[in-house]
Order: sequence, then C-alpha cells, then structure tokens
Amino acid sequence: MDKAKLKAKLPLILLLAFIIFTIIFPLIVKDRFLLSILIEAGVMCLFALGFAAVFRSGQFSLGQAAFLAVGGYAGALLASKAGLPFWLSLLGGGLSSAIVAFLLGIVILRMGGLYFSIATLALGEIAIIIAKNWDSVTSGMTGIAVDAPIVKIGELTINFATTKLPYYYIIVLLVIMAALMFWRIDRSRLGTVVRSVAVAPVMSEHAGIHLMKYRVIMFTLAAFVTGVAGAFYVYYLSWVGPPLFSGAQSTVALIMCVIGGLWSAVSGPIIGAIIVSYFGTMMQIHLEGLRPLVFGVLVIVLIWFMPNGLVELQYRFPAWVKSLFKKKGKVPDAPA
Amino acid sequence: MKRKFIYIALVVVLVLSIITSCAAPAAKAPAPPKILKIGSIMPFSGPASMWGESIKPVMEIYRDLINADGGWQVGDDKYIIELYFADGPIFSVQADAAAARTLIYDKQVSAIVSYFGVGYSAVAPICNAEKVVFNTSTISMGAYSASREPYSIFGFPAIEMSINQAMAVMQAFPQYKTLCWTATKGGNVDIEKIYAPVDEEIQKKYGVRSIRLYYPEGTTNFTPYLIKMAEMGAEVLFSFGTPLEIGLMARQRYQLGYKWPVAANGAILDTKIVKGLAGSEEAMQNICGDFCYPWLLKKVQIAPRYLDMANRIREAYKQKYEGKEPYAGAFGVGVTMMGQYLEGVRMAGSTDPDQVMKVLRGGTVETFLGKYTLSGNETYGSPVVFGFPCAMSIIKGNESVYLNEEPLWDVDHPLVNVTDLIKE
Amino acid sequence: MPPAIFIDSLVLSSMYILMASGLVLVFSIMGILNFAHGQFYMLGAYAIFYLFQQAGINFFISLALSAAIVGFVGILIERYIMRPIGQPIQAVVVTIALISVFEGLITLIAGPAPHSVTSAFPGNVDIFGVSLSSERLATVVIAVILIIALYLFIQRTRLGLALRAAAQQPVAAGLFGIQVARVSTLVMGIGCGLAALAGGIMAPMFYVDPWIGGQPLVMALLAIVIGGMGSLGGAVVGGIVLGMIGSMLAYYIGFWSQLISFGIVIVILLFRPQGLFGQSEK
Repeated sequence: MDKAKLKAKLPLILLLAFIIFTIIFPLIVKDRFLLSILIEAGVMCLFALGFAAVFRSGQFSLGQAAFLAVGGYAGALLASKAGLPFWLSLLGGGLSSAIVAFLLGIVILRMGGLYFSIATLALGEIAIIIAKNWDSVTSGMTGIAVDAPIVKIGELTINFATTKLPYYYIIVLLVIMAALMFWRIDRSRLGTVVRSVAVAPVMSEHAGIHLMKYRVIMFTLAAFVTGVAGAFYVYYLSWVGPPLFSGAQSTVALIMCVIGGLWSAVSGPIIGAIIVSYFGTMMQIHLEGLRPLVFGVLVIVLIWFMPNGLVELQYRFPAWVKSLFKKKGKVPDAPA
Repeated sequence: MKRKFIYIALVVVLVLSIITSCAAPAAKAPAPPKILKIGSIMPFSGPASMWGESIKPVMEIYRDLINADGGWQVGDDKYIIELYFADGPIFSVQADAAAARTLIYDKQVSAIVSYFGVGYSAVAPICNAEKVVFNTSTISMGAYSASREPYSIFGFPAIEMSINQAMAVMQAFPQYKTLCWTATKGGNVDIEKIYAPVDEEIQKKYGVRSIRLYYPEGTTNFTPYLIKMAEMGAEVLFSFGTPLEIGLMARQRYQLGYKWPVAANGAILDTKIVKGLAGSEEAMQNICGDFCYPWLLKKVQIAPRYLDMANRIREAYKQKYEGKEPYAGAFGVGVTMMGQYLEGVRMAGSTDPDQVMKVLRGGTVETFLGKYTLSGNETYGSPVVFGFPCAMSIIKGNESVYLNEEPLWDVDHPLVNVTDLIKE
Repeated sequence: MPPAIFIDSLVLSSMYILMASGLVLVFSIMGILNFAHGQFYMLGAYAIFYLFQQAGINFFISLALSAAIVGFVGILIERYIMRPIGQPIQAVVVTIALISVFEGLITLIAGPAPHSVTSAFPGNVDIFGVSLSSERLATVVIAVILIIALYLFIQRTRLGLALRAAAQQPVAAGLFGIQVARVSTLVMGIGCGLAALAGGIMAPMFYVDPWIGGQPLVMALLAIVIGGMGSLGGAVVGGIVLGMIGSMLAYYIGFWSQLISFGIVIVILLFRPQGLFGQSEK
C-alpha cells in the first residue's frame, strides 16, 4: 500500500528533484561555457516545445524558425526603438509572433499534411528574404543591437551585461512555464480533441469537431512560445539579424523532438533539445570537420535503438535494472 | 594483517610519488616563459572550410617562426605565442558565438583575430564583456557602436577596399568604361547602400560608369543575370560572390560569348580549382582577385622586418607543402590581422587590453602589407582602415599574375567622411 | 527574349523535373518525404566526377553506372535502415540525418574543395543562326529522353502497373499478389537513381562539392507541391514553372524572382490546396 503510493508519487519527486538541481546547478558548477550552452539549450527547449505542439495537432511545420525570427525582431524593435522594459519586450515578441501565426494559420492550415509543410518551408524562406531586404525596419544584414537590460527589483539591481546568470534563471522559468502550459493542455479536454484531430481528422470532423479551430489554436500557442524564445534569444545575444534564423533550424527542432520522444508532449522535446544542443555544441568545438558525419550517424543510431525517443528509457531502464537483479538473484546472496 | 600492510605501503608510495612529481619541476625550472594566447575563429567545416584550411597553416607557421626567434618582444619580456583555432562555419552565427566562448572561457585567449564571418554582432559582445581584443573584418560590422564595444578593431577593410580594387582593375583596362557591381541582394555587402552614393565621385575621379545587378543567394545559374548585364552595357564585372560563384560566372559569361574581366573582392583560391569551375583555360582568362603577397607589391612600402618575415613564411610554407605557394588571402586577413594585434601589444609594451586598445585605436602600425592606420574613435562611423594595398591579380594562361595596385591610403576615398578625419 | 534564356530555362526545368519525379515516386509509395534526396543528387555528381572525369569512362556509361550505384545505395538504405525503423516520422528524421552523413562522408573522402567535370559536349552549335552552348542543349535532350523513358516505364510496363497499384491501394495491391515491400525498395532505388542522373547531367555544367544538394532539394519540394503530390505530371508542370521563374523571370525582374518562386507556391496552394494536379489530402 505504502509502496504503491510512493511509486505513484515517484515521477513528481524526481521532477522536483530535477528542478531543484537545475536551480542550484550553476551555483555549484561555475563553468561559464557550460552555462552558455544551457541557456541556448533552454531556448531550443521552447522552440522544440512549440514544434511538438504543432506536430501533435497533426501538422508538420518546416518554417517554425520564422516565428523565432518574428519574435526576435519584434522584441528587438520594442526594446531598442520603443524602449520597453525586458519583460514587456519578451511578451511583445511572443504576442506579435502569435498574431502573425493566427493570421497565417487561418489561411495556410487549410492545406493538409505535406502541403502545409512545404508552404511553411516557403514562408520561412520568405521571412528571411524580408528580414534581409526590409531595410527601414530590420536594417538588413546589419541587424539591430539590443542593450543588455538592467532590471530593478526593489533595492536589487541586476545588470545583465555583467553576468549571464539571470538569463539562465529566466530561461529555466520560461521553460517550466511553457512545459506546464503544454502539459495542462495535453491533459485537458482540449488536448484530447487535438490528438483526435491529428490521428483521425476525418472521423473527428464527422464527430462534429471543427478541425481548423484546433489547428489554429495550437499553431498560435506554439508561435507565442516560439516568439518569446526568439525575443529572449535576441536579448541574450544582444543582437538580431537574418543569419540567426536559417531554415535548417526547423529541421533541427524535428530531430530534437524525435530523439527526445514525440509521444510525450513535454518531456520528450525538452530532453531532446538539451541533448542535441549540448552535444551539438560540444561536437562543433571538438570534432570540427568530422561533426556532420558523427552527428548524423548518432541520430540514426539513436532512432534505430529507440524509435520512440529517449523518454522510452523510463520504461526500459527499470526493466533493465530489474533484469540485472534477477540475474544476481540466481546466485545465492553471500552472508554479510 | 599482511594484506593491510601492503595497502598501507601502496598508499604511502602513491602519496610520495605524487609529492615528488609535483615538487620536482617546481624546484628545477627557471621562471616560466610568458605566454600570449591568441585565438582565431575560422571555418573548418561546411562549404567555407576551404578558407579556414588554407589560412590556418600560414598563421601557424608565423607563430612557429616568432617562437623560434625566442618569442615576441613586449617591453622587457619575450612572450611565447600560443595560437588556438575554433571552428566557426562563418554562415552560422550561433556556432561562431560558441567558438568565441570556448576560446575565451576555456583557452583564455587575450585576443581573437582574423575573423571574417558574418557573426560580428554575436561575437563582439562576448569579447567585449571579457576585455578580449577582437580584430575583425569590416564585412560584418553589424550594429557596431564604439561606446558599447571598446575592444573591437577593424583590421581588414573588406568594404572600403572594394572601390580601390575595382579601380585598380579599371585602370589596367583603360578601354573599358562601364563597371557592373554584382552581389546577392541582402547579402553581407549591401552594394546599393554602400556604393551607389559614390557613383558620381567615381565617375568624376576615374571616368568609370557604375551599374549594379543582384542575384539571389545560392545562385549557380547566372545566365539570365549575365545576359541582363550585357544589355545594360557591362564591360567589367566586380563581384562580391564566393570563389564558387566567381568561377561559375566566368564560365557562363564565356559560354555566352562575353570576354569581360571578372574581378572578385576576395583572393583567388587556387588556379586549378578556378580552372575547374570555369570549365576551361579560355574561360578563366581575365579573372581578377585580391593579391596580398607582400613580396610582389609595387606601390606599397613594407618595413624590411616584415618583408623578411613574409619571405621566411613563404619559404617555410613551400618547404612544408611541396613547393606550393601560400594562399594570398592568408596575408590579407590571416597573419596581417594577427600581426596588427601583436604590433599593438609591442607598442603598448604590455598585454593589458586597455593599453593595447589605446595604441591601436586610430594608431598606425606596420604590417605585412605596409603601414596601416586603424580607425579611431572619430572615424568609427566609417571604420576605414588605411594602408591596404588593394593589389589585384589577373589570370593569364595558367597562372595568377600581378595586375595593378591602388593602395587605400588616399584621404580622398569616397567612402570616408573627411570632416571626421579632420576632427581627429 | 534572347534564345539563350529559353534554353537556360529548359535546363533548369529539366533539373527540377528529374529531382521532383524521384521525390514524388518515393513519396507516393512510401509515404515519406526523402529529405536526403538532394544528397543523392550530390552523390550522382561525385560518381560522374570519379567515373567520367577521373577514370575516363564514356559519359553515357558513367551516367548509367552512377544511377545504378546511387540507386543501390538507396536500396540498401531503404532495406536496412528505413524499413526496420518503420514509423514514417522517424524515417523522415533518418533522411534528415542522412543529409549530414552523406555530406560528412564525402567531405572526408573527397575533401571540401569543389571539383569540376569537363564537359562531354564542348563548344557551341548554331541553330537557325543562333549560337547556343551544346552542353546545355545536350543536357536538355538527355533530360527529355529520361523523362519520357520514366513515363513509359510507369505507364506501359507490368512493373509500372504494380507500382501504380501499390501507390493507390497498397492493401488491395498486396491482395492481388504485388509485394508492396519489394516495390517500395525498388522505388527507393529508382528515385535515388533519378536524383543521381540529375546530379550527373548537371555536374559538368556547374561544379561538384559536398553541399550542392541543398538547393535542388528545395526546388524539387516546391515543384511537387505546385504540381500536386503523387502525380508525375504534376512534377513535370511544377518543374517547368519553377524553371521559367528561375530563368525567364530572373532575366526580367532579377533578384526578386526568388521571392516569386516561394510566393507562387503559397498562392497556388491557397487556391488549390492539393496543388494543380493533386488529389485532396486532409
């Protein structure tokens, strides 16, 4: 009885332990390079969460990087031209991205399946062309510089220029918030409907579900999260410009989601994003020219052994441990 | 009991050996040599890796030669130079920023030199927060601000030099009067914004008419653009494209029956590769490119010690790579930009970044390519770098030979706001 | 309009058509988009470089050999990587990972420097008093022959019939004795072989380096949605439209033609969400 209760609460305990670990981690390990990788991994977490949300509504977007760009440019413009404070610029980046996604979504989400994918691919390319050539707003390749924010909370003043630590805590907070949101949605009635729209669109339509409505909802929500990530990223790099948002990033989001595990709304993308950003950066530093080959082979091997992603380990690992103990059990226990 | 004794003995031996191994060198060694760590971000993976691979060995030979002489003289000390490279595929800003972080946080370099990628604006904040001198090309100045980025210098005039390069070519072909500038639209160099305002001055000073045409990024088929250029009256092309694009342009113009000289603002990589891209020896004739060999310059005066060093680098390179000439661009960006920083350290008599910057900003330094005057605070609106030779080569037969030179030391340069200079 | 532009647009169109038809074939049978299709184009170009340029084998034999070799690579990948993995979305990610694998492998083997292939058809020819590059004319002719051969194969042979049946009704086709698994292996081979042919005939005209596959893939993707997925006719129309934009329109409006190629996809899909000739897909 007690044991069963404990077992049921185990994931929650593990999750809390993990969150506490992420919070105290940079205080113990004072490696600034690692910190910078983790911050970028956090941005990629938000990006992958957005991608997964769209994917779970049955659509496969190849242009998610465009929403990163919209959020990034909106955040940068709000901060540098309108002089909005940090938090409001983040929100503004997310909202403008969501508005663009809503307006585009009600038009392009009518296209099913791969037509939608290619349309988003084309939109992503168009977004980069616009960013490069709309000089009066985006300043072309010059881009827009964003000053590091100085946040005042009561007596406390945090200058983001001197330390990157605040960025870390903010991105951890943002990831937790986004994860909670998508987790709640996944557990709610909305989540069930969205899944049915994805898995059986025709049946859902016969059951009276308005497909477009749910697709647009998920597309807009995902774009909001991606836009916030874009605005945050621009603050972190203190600059925004077209080279930041190449179309290849959208496929990287797909790789992250599949490696982490597509069938979990939250943990899969987060795990995948952290693993891919960490090892991707490490490989770039240490392998140089060999990186593409090793990266590609590793992805294929991972998918080969764990087609359902790393989240599968939570079932496989206990089974593996159990099998270890069983083998040991055959040998009579030595007296202590 | 016996076993316990063995354990204790083992531990004692281990501890003793650790102590002695730590103590031994400390007792013997004299004062350790001072070390100056320099980093460089270059492409070693991806389509641009050819550049990284051909510039890196030349920089390494320069480092070895300095160290063989006992180090770099700074004040009363000699510094041994350590050179670290990190892979930045130069089209990916994120990767370049990550490369800068490893160089600064892990290797603790005091300068990052010879950068020619597009990620200036992402790399500069990392360098400036850590007081690391960042010597970069003007090609990706991004949203540069002198007050926010006090440790950035622009040691390579990628933007400014192009006018002089183009004019060097035009003067070598006095029969041609119309120059077509071409680049990708929205690419690294916005030729409309930068060069269109000086069309009239170029016309007045050199008698050259300028036209412009853009092509989309990733173009391999230039035929429609070349036909359009011909209709617009182009006689000479000046391109900001990659070596691949230059080669394909040359090939397709030849197929269309045009014999225009095609000039590139970068150095010609390797005539063998160019010949391949152009398709035939006839098609690659009259391809012009930057030509930064110190021993071949005619109008620029180079300090004897640098000319001497350049020759030593050339000899060492030829010895190491079976008689091959080093890549011309390695002198343009590679060792020259590394040398600018070293010269700054020598003149400041210290490796302290603030003092180095005091000397370098607006200062004049000797380099492999003559005297450079780096931009100062006042001219940072247009960070022109004076002194670049802007020498051009031309492909004749199977070889790339000297064509002409139009050094960038002229204050009448159309891109420079002269009033800024007077203020200084 | 100068006649060279017309030939030029045909060259571009034939490259896009060959790429798009391979992509469409694989998609119609296996239900996945092969994102590594551009890298098979690159492999084909390298095969021509080694066979024709280095070993000096006849151009047409080299073309056939390169298609066979690359097609065989495609078959191996389908049989030993894609089929065991099974699920479509994972298979798509595998094709994305294959992009890096092929690019990395070729960089390792052949180096990052670009190579070139001498033209098998040098010089210019005069047609009705207009001088045209014979290399470009030959490319168009070869491509047209290949496309007609592909059409005849699909429409007129028993294998082609099995292929069409497996694409339309895989279950029913299986009941009628068509081994759908074997058909998809074969189709992967043919699709990759087509990409290799496209790479092979384009190699002498442009250059060969490990990253040349990216651009043709994007254009092929656009071409198949313009025409409509799952129809070879659609791929042909899409390829012609994009070729004309990339060349004729580029001549008139220059740089902005690129924006039009992306924009036209969205415009067409707005009015016909299943492409010009495709069937609706929810």
